[in-house]
Amino acid sequence: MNNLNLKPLKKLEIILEGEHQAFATDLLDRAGVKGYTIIGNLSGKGSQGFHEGHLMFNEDEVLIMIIAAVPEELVEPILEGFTPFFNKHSGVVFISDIQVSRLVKFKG
Amino acid sequence: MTLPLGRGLKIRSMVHMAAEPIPNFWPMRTFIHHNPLHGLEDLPFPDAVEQGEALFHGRGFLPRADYQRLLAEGRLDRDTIEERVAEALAERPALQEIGGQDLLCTLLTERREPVVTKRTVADVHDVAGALQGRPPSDQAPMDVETLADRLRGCFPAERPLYEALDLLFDTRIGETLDELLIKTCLDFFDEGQSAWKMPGREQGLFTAWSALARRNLRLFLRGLHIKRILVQSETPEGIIAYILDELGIPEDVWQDLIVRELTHMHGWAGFIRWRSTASRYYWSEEYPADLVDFLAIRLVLALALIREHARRQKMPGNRAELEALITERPAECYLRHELFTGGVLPTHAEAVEDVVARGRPAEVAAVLARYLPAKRRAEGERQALALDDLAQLAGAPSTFRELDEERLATVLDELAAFEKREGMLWLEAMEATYRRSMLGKLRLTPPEPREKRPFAQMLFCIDVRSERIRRQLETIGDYQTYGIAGFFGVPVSLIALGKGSEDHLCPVVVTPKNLVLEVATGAEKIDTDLYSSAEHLLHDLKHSVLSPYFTVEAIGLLFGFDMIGKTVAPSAYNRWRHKIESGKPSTRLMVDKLTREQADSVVRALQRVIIVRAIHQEFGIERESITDAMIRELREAAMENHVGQTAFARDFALSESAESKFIRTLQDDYRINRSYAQMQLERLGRIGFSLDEQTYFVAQALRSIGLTEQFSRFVILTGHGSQSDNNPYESALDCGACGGSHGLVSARVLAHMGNKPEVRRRLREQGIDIPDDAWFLPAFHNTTSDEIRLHDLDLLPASHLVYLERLRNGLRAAMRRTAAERLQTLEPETDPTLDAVKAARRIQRNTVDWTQVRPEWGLARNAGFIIGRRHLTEATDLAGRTFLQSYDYRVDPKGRLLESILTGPLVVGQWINMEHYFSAVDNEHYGSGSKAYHNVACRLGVITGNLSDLRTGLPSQTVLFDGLPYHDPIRLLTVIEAPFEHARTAIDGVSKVKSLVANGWVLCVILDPETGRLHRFVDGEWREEALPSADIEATDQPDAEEIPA
Repeated sequence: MNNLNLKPLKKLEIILEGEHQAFATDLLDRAGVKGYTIIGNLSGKGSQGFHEGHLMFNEDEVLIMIIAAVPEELVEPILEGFTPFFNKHSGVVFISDIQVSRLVKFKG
Repeated sequence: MTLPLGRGLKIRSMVHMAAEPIPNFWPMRTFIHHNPLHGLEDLPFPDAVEQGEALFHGRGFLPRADYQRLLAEGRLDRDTIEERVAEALAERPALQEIGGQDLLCTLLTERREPVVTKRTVADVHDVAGALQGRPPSDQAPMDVETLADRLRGCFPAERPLYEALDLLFDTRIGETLDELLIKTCLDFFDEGQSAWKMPGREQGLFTAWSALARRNLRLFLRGLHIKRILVQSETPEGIIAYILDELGIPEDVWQDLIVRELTHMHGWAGFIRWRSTASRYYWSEEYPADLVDFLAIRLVLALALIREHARRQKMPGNRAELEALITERPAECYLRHELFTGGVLPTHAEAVEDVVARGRPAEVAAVLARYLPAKRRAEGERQALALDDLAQLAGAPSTFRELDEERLATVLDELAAFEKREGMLWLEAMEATYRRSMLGKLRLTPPEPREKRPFAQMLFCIDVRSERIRRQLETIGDYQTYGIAGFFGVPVSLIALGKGSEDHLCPVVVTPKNLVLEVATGAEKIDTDLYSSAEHLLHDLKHSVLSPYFTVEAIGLLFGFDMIGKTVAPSAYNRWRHKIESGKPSTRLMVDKLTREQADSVVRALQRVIIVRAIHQEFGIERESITDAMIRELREAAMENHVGQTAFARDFALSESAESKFIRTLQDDYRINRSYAQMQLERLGRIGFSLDEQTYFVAQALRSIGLTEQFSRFVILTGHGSQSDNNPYESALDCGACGGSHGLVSARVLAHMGNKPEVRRRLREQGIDIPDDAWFLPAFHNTTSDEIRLHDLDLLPASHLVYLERLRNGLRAAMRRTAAERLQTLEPETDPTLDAVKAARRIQRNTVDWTQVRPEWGLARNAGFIIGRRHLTEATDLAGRTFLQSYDYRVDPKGRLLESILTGPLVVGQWINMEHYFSAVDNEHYGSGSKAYHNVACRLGVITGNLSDLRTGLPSQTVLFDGLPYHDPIRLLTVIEAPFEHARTAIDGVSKVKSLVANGWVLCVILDPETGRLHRFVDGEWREEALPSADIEATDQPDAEEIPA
């Protein structure tokens, strides 16, 4: 494993309503995040009760998760950016430590 | 100044949040019905209406006088008014004591204006004095400190500073600001209407504008030093932060201030909001803009205007200076405020105007000393007069005169509270009338099962306009009809023949994943013309296997060569375009997925075309001098599949470096490279639906309406649309479920899928057995003429041709009968006995009459949404007022189909209903006013006169008749026919719908067919109620379907 030359990064997992996807990805783009993965139709339980993630004809109402790997110095600005949003809307952001082998894909 | 990243992002986020209450505005080519208070739907309806008043200055209910008229016409339920008054009285003891029930009923039904008048300086003592005829006091009602406090209350920090200046100095900065900003919007957002093109638009709104504004002599001559502000930051976020700091606005109120700034022009703001998130919208991709840009420009102009006034006329230039002014000169500020808000007493206006113009403190104090007692007297008298008038109307003239001051104060408070919530009372009375009438007509018992299948089954859109024709069809023949959202549950993105953009044919809450291309069946002739004149570009395309399937524009769109036809071969393009528009050729839709080989072939063909063009462009070499083999080799080289010198380089004596430079140019500038080819393949992959998807969509559509057996020979899928001339609002009359487009394409797509043998085989495995002789046939219902035209008849099996004439004459007869029914609503003076053929001719005329401001009533008077089996409503005249969604709970044990219906069709229905509601209650603010004053702006919307905000909502001609509401503004009554628990679980399972019901944005009733009971959601809970019988409706209730005379 040591030969892989792993570099530390932070992983953000942002869960919010599908309606706000464009807002969230725009914010990440402007923060300089180089890529992200989006998962739709989430199921799960939170303060709003159980959310069922089956296919429906209204994508605004489903929960989505945006996953991004970012350098540590971007975490705070991104969280600051999301503050006014999460003051009103439900959703969560998880931050965790991760390691990647090809740093160039995430930074620079 | 460079703004830290986090702060910049935070400002973006604040702007996003501030814009949430502002409704999106879609370009009117595809009019999207929308609740103007959509952003406030998480609040209970009455609270949202109140907030809407604060944000958009729009009224949430009709004026009392209008309700009184509706009451007189029988469109309102008097019993409900009395019940609601009694309920209101229970919480208001002081009113009870003075005979409240009669008094309040009189107030509502006989007094046109509110009885509680505005008092700013008079207190209850003054009112009592005026009532009892006591001489008025000549004391000033308050000291100047109190006045100063009140003024501070008028101008909180979140209120834009220029509004304070306008109200204290009559500067009209707000007006100037709006005008300047509208001009900028008209320039930047123009979609080809204006001859002049704003330069630099591709750099984005803020950058393009600032480049112009720095050099704008006109602004400079007005004394606006915009440059000085713009140098403070490069980015709009930086500019916003700078200006708000300069004005001294505390950061914790920035978001509230931004809300106020944006709602000043909510039409443009709503458009920019929509546009900045619209995917694949040509104009926003070319010329990006967002609300941060828009806000930054507004603030720059505002600050420049404020500074100019402050400099020339010594006005406050920031918050601190405003505070100081109020503290130092409260009396003058008060008088100024009185004068410029129009609240000044007419008798004192001249003196006040003189004294504030001179601004001498002693004179100001003297005038104030005279003014305040007079104002106090006037307010007291006006209130007393209103009370006396009410007492007179109620037949007890001394009611208020006998009250002591304390009781009078309580009575006034209670009356004010009552009048504040009065709108809901009227609304509920109106809704009760409709509810009893509609529910009384429903039939719960299912009919005996049919022995043989019907002659034809017809699927119509749930749109209220389908109701009449469905009823007529069922009356005249063996037709079975169904209601389904007009996109048939298949979200399609269409590239139509001759169209330079993708249209999303589905409700706006869905983004289609699959693309369908419309292609001409006899394409050769047209294409050859175009290809020959654009030879350099398109020569090779002719040889592609799939070339007949691809229009030039489709290729342009798919591969990112925008408007290929327009730039490469404009004249041929225009001829071709004209041909398509003048007589649309017969077309097919590409609904099936391409194979990998087909997709590869298209990409290769396109790359070869581009290479020919590149050779011509870079070396001036004509096509006839090069061979196919050379082109192929160059392509391989650019794709990194070829090593060594190419034949092209050899023949044209290119040096090694020149050759590799050219290959790089092909890769970089002409985008012939592996990753771009991969992307093109992905884009081609969006075309069509896989077999699995097709099976899924057909099964879903059929199950959702409960049609899973006894299929007829004809299963007709009817899309709908409207046809009128010279009508920017034509799209508002089209299919809402298809994103404001015609529904025919969706019908053709589903028919294609449903007729496919392989799809049917798979459906059979799922238990849906469609017999071989059942044919899915697309049709188009023109809602302006009620004509139904059958499509894709060339695909119809020979076995069906013999039945075609029977089908056609059935449709024609139903059309005429519907036309006769509808003519009465459009031209109420028409003789009701006019025969159907003549009526149909009159109706037909509206489709081509360009002077007709009201070609059809569209969705006006929509009021109900019924989800259930057809027998509930069959043979019942619902007067074209209900959305009808077929649904059979027996084929939906898990309730998933019902959830889908609630989140999709019902939500769209609610938007349509709310758009009509608010456009009817306040057409000036929530609607778009009269069409007569409309001008099309930027090809995307309308404005009133030459310069106004973009008008949102519906024009008065759609919802009003002779200035009074034709549309009954009531909330959508949703009826679900299903077992109570089944329906309730589905409602609770979708948080959006649950909240719409709980907050009173839709009214909900569940009809349980197994118990025969009715459950209604009232005041936060489900209550069991008796089912109104049709008899009650017929005898006791006025006819709710009557047309106003």
